[in-house]
Amino acid sequence: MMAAAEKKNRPDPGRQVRVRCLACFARFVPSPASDRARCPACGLWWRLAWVGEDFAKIRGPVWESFPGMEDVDI
Amino acid sequence: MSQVSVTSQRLAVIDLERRTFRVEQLDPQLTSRFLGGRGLAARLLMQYAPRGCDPLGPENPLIISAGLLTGTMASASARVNFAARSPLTGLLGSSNMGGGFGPELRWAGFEHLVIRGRASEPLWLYVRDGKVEFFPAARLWGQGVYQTRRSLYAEIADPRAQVLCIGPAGENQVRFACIMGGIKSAAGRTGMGAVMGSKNLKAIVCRGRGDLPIARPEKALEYNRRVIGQVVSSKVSRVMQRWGTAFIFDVTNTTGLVRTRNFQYNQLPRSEDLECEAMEPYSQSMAACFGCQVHCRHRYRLASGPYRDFWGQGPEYSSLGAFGTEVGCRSMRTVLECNHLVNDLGLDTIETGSMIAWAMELYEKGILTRADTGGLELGWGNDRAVAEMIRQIAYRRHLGDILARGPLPAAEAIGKDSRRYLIQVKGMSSLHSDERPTPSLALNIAVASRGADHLRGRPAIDLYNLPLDLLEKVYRRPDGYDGPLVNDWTSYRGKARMVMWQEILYMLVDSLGICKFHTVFFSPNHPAFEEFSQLVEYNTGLELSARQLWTAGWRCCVLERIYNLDHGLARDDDWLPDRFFDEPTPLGLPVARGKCLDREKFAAMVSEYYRLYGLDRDGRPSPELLNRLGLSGQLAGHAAGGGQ
Ligand code: SF4
Ligand SMILES: [Zn+2]
Repeated sequence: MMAAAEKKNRPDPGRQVRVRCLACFARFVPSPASDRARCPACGLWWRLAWVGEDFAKIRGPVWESFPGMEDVDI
Repeated sequence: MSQVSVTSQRLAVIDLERRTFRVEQLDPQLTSRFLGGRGLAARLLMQYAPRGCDPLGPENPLIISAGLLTGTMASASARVNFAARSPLTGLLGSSNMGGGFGPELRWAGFEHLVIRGRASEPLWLYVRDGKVEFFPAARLWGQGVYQTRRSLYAEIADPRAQVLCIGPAGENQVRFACIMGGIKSAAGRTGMGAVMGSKNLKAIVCRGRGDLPIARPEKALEYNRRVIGQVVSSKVSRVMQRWGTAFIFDVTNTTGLVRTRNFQYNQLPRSEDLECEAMEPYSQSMAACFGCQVHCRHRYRLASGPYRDFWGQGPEYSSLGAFGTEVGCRSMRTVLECNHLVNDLGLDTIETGSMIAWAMELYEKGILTRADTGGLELGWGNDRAVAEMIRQIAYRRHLGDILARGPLPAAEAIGKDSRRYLIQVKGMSSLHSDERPTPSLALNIAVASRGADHLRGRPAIDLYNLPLDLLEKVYRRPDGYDGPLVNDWTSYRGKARMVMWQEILYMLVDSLGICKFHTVFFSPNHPAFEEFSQLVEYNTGLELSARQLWTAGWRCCVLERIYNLDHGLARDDDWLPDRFFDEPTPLGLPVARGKCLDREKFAAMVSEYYRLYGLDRDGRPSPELLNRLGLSGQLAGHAAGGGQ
């Protein structure tokens, strides 16, 4: 018998891809295969990585737009 | 060969001085009380190590223990545990390794090896089919791990054998030397390689043709299939199959949870080349431990440079911090080269990176100078200096000889204000995570039994902000806990329970010999007590309910604490360096920026943790707890005479 979690996370090419903003935790839908996306809730820009067509994750911020970096020099 | 029975574990007591061994069958009751692996190893350590023995003296035994499920039909059952009194901390030495050695040990006829004494000249051991043979290893002494493995495989001409060995760091008794079980698998923490080196023991080769009888093979197979589905189908496993544990870096560095330049920052901005995706040009394929379907290890090859043509595995998340953010380097190539170097020299990645990062901060502050470093410019981001310092540590040259002693003795030797900059607990350095914004993770490293250690109780899922009902489903089982739980990772409330629960779960899987990534570590939906109860029953025939496994894990955790109390542990040791409380995080997302821990609230968490465990206000087990767990008489009562 397939566990609920297993069903939920099974690769499903038809399902809409959503990622979770690391700053405000809102979920949003990036354009397919895009390597950047903006969180509609908090406005931060993210770089994306695709695990498969059905699954994207945040790779990191677009550093130029990351808050509070103005005086950071390390 | 004698038939294997999981309820009567087999132990070889090996005397290196006399070059003899004898075989014992353990009392079957020990199995249901301490399971195997890490839990039973703690019990054997109490029996065989004289209290207060010199960690690098012949009386300190090196205990190698397969888990109760190691090598069975349970998936990811590769783990084997190493225990001794730690030369790094003077407390519990305990380290857990994957790969293939654990199953092979059982097939060779043993669940445990207790290695005693010191050989008069370098030796290697051949453990096969119920026997232990002794061979001279003088010609291997001085060789790195890669060369040692090649030499031994050439000599035994059996590619299916498993080889454990130490590198030059273990031979030179660097206090954080590790034991390597492959080109990556390592018993990394607490200096077990130094213990092996102190015994003049270069390597252990193991080969077995025995079989493990599975109690109910059809059921075991069917149930395991379900467990595999549960693990492999999770999103986090899909990510690990592609990028390994390095995937964590992307999230933690973005958030601001990564120790950078020792402890001065909590993020390394613009470090795209350390992100897990930057591994792709180097990775050739993914490899796995015995019986695992996740395959979380990159196999990589460098096309140029000093390690051209060597196969490597990894890097783990820990390597990205040790040779990346902590030392201010932004290059995946540097990480891979240093990863290769520590694996070949036989050094613990986390401790090595931490010691170098600490030395760099001391250099920046003028506490160390070029006169101390052998002329090395120990500036942040100096890749060449990091690699050179790794060699200095392994061969105990210049400053490396001081760093090789471990954090506290090194600070004592350097003096001035150096101790203030150490990021350690109980004498062991921390992973490169920065726990200032995360009270639950901070509590985990403060109270862990072997020093600052994320692998002994980290409630990693606390970082997911999971719905409360899901959190409750996980953390209220299997004992019906009804205290507070909070799904906000900046909170101090309800976190002591999470840490205790994870400690007991990790103790359980370390004792069963199952990989932590196949339990509630990265995913709340992965197997836990109920599933392991079934796996134990179908594979071994032992009927232990989820609740009984919980109690067994709890017992083993308390036993490890007793070992530490016997060696001077006090409440003050379950605490963090002042920097965690005094220096707010300067970078990261708003949720992680400007954060440091509150002393009063943190002390209350420690007290709550003690209370949940049944410990008194000083962290000592009460008589009722000892009685309840069947541990009465253990405190200050272990092996005054050093076992049998
Ligand atoms: S998940 Fe990784 S570490 Fe765990 S058993 Fe599988 S390959 Fe080994
Ligand atoms: Zn957002």
